[in-house]
Amino acid sequence: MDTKLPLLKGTLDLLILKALSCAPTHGYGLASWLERHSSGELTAEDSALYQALHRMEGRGLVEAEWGVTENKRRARYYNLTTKGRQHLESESTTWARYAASVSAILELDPTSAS
Amino acid sequence: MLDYRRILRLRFGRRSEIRREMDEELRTHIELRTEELMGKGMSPEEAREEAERRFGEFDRARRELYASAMKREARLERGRFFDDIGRDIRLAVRRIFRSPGYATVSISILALVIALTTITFAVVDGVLLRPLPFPAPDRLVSLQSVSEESGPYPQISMANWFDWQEQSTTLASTAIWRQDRLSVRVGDESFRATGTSVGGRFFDVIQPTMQAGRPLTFADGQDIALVTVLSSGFAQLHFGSSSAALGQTVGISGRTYEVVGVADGPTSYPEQTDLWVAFFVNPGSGAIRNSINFESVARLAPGADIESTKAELDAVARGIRESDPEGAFHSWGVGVVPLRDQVVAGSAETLWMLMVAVAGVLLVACANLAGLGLARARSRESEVSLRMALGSGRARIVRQFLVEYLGMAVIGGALGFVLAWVAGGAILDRLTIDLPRADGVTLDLRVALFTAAITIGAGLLAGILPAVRTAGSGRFGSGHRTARGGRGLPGGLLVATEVALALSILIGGGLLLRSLQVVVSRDLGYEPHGVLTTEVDLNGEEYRRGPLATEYWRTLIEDLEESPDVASAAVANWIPAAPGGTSFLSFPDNLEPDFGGGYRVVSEAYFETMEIAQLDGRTFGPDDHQDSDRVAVVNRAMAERAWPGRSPIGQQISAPSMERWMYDGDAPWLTVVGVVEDIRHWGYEAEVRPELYVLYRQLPAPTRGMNLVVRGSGTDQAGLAATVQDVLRSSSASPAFELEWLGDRVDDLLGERIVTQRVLAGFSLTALLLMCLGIYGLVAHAAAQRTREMAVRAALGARRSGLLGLMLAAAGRVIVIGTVVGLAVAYGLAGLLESLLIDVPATDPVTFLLAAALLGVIGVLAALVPSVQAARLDPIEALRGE
Repeated sequence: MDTKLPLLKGTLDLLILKALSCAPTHGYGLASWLERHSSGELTAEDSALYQALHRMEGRGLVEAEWGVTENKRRARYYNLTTKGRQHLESESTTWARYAASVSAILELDPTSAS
Repeated sequence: MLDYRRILRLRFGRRSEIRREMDEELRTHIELRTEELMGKGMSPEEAREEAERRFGEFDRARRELYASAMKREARLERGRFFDDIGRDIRLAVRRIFRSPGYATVSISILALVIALTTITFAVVDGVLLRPLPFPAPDRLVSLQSVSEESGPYPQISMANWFDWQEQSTTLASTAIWRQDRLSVRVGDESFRATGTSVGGRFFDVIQPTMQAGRPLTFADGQDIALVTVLSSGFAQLHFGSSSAALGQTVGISGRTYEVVGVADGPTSYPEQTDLWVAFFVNPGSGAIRNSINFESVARLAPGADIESTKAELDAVARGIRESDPEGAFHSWGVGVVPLRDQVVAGSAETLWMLMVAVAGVLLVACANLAGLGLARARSRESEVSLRMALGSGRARIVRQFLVEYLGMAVIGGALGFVLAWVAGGAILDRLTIDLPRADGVTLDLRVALFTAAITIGAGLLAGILPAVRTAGSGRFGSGHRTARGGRGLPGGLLVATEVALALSILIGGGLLLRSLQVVVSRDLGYEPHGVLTTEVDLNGEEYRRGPLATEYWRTLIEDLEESPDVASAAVANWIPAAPGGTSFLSFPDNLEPDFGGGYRVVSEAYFETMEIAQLDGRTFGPDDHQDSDRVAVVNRAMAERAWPGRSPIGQQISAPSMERWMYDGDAPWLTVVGVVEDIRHWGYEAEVRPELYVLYRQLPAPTRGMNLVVRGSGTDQAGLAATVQDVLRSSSASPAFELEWLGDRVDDLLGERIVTQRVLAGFSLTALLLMCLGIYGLVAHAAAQRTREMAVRAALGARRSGLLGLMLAAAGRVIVIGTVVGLAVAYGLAGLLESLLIDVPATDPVTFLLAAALLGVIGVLAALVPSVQAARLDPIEALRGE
């Protein structure tokens, strides 16, 4: 059975920001986007998703507006703010450097490392 | 109109609205997920369950999401609020800089008035509101003698005090004290200093901070130990430091005392004490209870309060009266008064009155600023219209303008506080009066907080009207002009308020001035100017008995009168404007009358030196001596009181409480030989009382403490002083002395009254100036508003005088209304001044009318200038400019 990787806190915020940078969407849309683009590897409890959205909305990284889905349902659409976009850029860079450093160390040949 | 609905929703409805929204968001999410799962083949019920399961435990998850949504909203609200405020402040600053003239005037007015208010409050706080600087000061009380007829005396007798404290359970510790000027010797220097003699547990009651050594104890007094505690100021002055003074010796009233402690001056009691000594307290009975020579302090026992203590002590006093019925004073009740109230008693009314007056000035300033702001409202119409078009609500605009006024107020308040700090000390020093606790007046945190509070209050008060008016002006759009727009009714009301307040303050100042004039023109009964005086104490052992003291006075007076600089010299145990004693009297047919008299031991030339008029009979002469019959001189008040309708010459009187102890039996009957004019003892404000004069040479016991009075023969004051100094120094006792002009001392008694009147005059002037500014502004603005109307009238043939009259009439209406209201306010507040006035009623019509007339003239003059300018306009130019 596939074990789905649990998301580290903080990483979820980053992924949401990335998702929203493509297009504004509602809560469910974000959840399915994440599942699709991680090929099902990454999961998050839906409630954690909304908690993250509330946090970021309070900090001004995203803003929300009521809209209508294709099926005429009322949904709350989230959107990236300028501040959120800047945050996404800087945090992505930091993440990349972090991941690269960690990978580099982990790939070291144990016999040659000293 | 403010959007009340939105405001309310924020508070009450918002929470449920958030929950509803969250529910809807979740519902959509669940439905979409359910659809997806159904698409993968699940049944609707299974799909729905799975969808909910993805949230974890669904109900708990939903509640947690409610909570995080609320937090989100709260954070957003805060952010919006601070953003708005920040924007308002930046906007306010820009606006202030755009109109520097207006801002400068407003800020200056506010700075000046807030400085005045701050200084006044600093004095009120320092003297009246601050607690005394002793541990647990609210437990300290003063014990007093009270009766229904004569009110409370802060003095009590040692005998009564002894019994009260012995039988009382509500007092933890208690003491009696008296303060005198004493002859003091440090090293080779002899001088006069202020000493406090204490009995009981004085230092337990007051608990001053000791800078060195130990305080005096009850045992010191009972052992009659020759020990003293110095005040830190005295120690530093004479020994260099508090610790250096410890163990030194000081000569006090002829005896040598050892310094066992030094107390911190500012935290000790009573004020101005240089040194403390302890005296022996003993119980007494009978008429000795009538010698109320001491003041008393006490510390309440834990759990006791003032009412219970007074009740207990009254019961004790009743018990004493029953067991020892002689004498008058001990039948009085006991007063228990908080010590702070006792210390500041004389000044409280004056200070509160000044506080009310300065508050009035502050209100005038606020009205002034509001008026200035209203005048500017029109000029901001376009700005307001623009903002409203861009979406600002009216509430928002009002808030923006309020922030602007608050901003100016804050700047003005800060400047005012700085001004008070810099100039306050100098101002208070110039107004040198002997306020109790004046040393503690500072601009500390309490005063700063007060200043901050009134600054904000003033800013809001001054700004609310113009802010609302400005926000409302956008309604008409820019460019709309009314014939009488802009300030109109509110502006007139504001100026009328200023007029009313200014008039009230002016009337107050006028009443005080009249009272001062009345008081100063009173006859004192003697002439203090030109008289040099000093206390002289004969402390040597040799003077305690026998004729040496009497001989000393006689020789001293003779030596002085030999000098050509001296017109006459005399001694008296009790001179005007100095502490002294009254005596219980006795008459052959009325052993205990219901009044007492001043008891004055004098030399023959006393009446001549003091220029007290002789009315009947004779005064003392060389035939009156120790072996001749005892004689007395009385004053007019005594004659009228004791022997109404008859001549007092030949009548008999005695002063038992003062003389009994000198004889081994009863006090002798004195025969009245003369009547002299009344005097006012405590200066112009004092009333006249019955007085009894006796000759020092006739007393069997020597008088060792006298006041020397010397009247000069010419105008050479320095010469007279030098002569008196020489004679005193070369006299056999060579006593310590302090020469002072009696005239100065009496004039100083009026000091507080004069200063109060001057301060109130200053406030009046400020209020009047502001009022003039307000009237000027109102008329100038009205003239500008009515330019077109005036131009048309002028073009149609109206004469200048007619136009002038038109402008003045409008101003006149405002002044008249303000005057009427001001008279009413002053009438209503009359009670505030009642106790400060002498011989002038607080509703004195002359003062009221004069003040109103003066104000009216000033007001019309203030209105005249802009009216004249308006009347002079050229109609063509004016219309063209429209």
